[in-house]
Amino acid sequence: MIGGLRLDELCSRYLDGDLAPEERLRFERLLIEDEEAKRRLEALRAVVRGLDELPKESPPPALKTQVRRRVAALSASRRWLDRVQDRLPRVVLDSPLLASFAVVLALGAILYLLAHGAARWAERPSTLVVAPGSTVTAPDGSAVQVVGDRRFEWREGMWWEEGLLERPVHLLRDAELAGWLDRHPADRELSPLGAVVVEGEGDAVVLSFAEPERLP
Amino acid sequence: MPAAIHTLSISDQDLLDQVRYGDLEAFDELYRRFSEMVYNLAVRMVGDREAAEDLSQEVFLRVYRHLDGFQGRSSVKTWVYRIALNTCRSRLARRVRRARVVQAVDDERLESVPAHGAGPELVAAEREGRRRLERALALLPLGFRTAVVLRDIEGLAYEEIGRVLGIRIGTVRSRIARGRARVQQILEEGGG
Repeated sequence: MIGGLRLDELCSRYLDGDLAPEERLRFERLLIEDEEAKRRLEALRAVVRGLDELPKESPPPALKTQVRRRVAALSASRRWLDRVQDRLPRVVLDSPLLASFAVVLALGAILYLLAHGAARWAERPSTLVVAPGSTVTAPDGSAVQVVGDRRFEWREGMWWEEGLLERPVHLLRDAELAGWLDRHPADRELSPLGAVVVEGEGDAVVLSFAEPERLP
Repeated sequence: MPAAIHTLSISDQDLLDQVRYGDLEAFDELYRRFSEMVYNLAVRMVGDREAAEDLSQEVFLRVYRHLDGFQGRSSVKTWVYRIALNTCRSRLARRVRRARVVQAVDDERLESVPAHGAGPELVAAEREGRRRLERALALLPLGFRTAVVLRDIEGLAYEEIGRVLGIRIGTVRSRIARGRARVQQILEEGGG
């Protein structure tokens, strides 16, 4: 470790030219002395080069036509709505008969909503925001217990971690959890503190990744 | 001056304003500027070209629908990246929910990518290397994969990645380092 950084992070930041001059010098000294560090750096360099050399993918030409057609349709409906919005109030105000009709229509709509709206409201998709420290069970029986300052939301039939970019929370069966942790050994150490947050009826909830800097 | 030529020289922000006022030629130019970026990102995130086409379409429709929501607090490029990533994440989440399997890389299409002027054995080795790398990338947890794709494939700077993902630069560094290390580990274990 140099400056509190693990070898993986040192190698990664060294390749990106992101180390401070002093850290860089110390790391280069380490590379001379430590064969394993040198091997790890070269392996990581090969990964970064390989990713950089993956061929750039171009969209098929037909995609532009499809997108253009759908956007043109959206644009046309938007223009139509704008025109209706512009004209409707004037037409209605100019004609007492139309104004009366609009009032009757509005009253009818309100009555309809009163009659049917309550039932629909009760059937709306379940949305649940979980406050830090609590445990909440979702409609499918899974539960999350929030650790630290994370917040979770049950939406579209699954758990999401809230944030600027929301992250899906993966639901794994108990039997799958062991395999998952085997395949992601780096998350094992983080699990109790931030990554793995809890259990339901035979389910465990595992975040797709963890943030080491949040750990003590 | 024809609109098509005019739109080539204007900023992304002005272009967005023109699209907002219903100029579809401006939208064509917007598509020209960002379609490769969006499609490439979608391919690397979902590992499937057919799904990437669908996603790209969805991204541009979302861009059009949410034009009024863009307030200019970030660059247009960052905004489009955010929409693209959110669209990919939603798609992947649905896929995880349904099948809980990692989508295999589209081998057939990969075979058709030429490897520059090398002999047949080298070409085959290069293709195999690329295939293993793409599979390893597909095995990464979503957060690591996103950071690695934005850095090593899209070539974004740490600061830009932080703005796109709405996370601190320390978190960006850590996710990139751990993501790369995980790819390396998968390749060494022969899992790619």
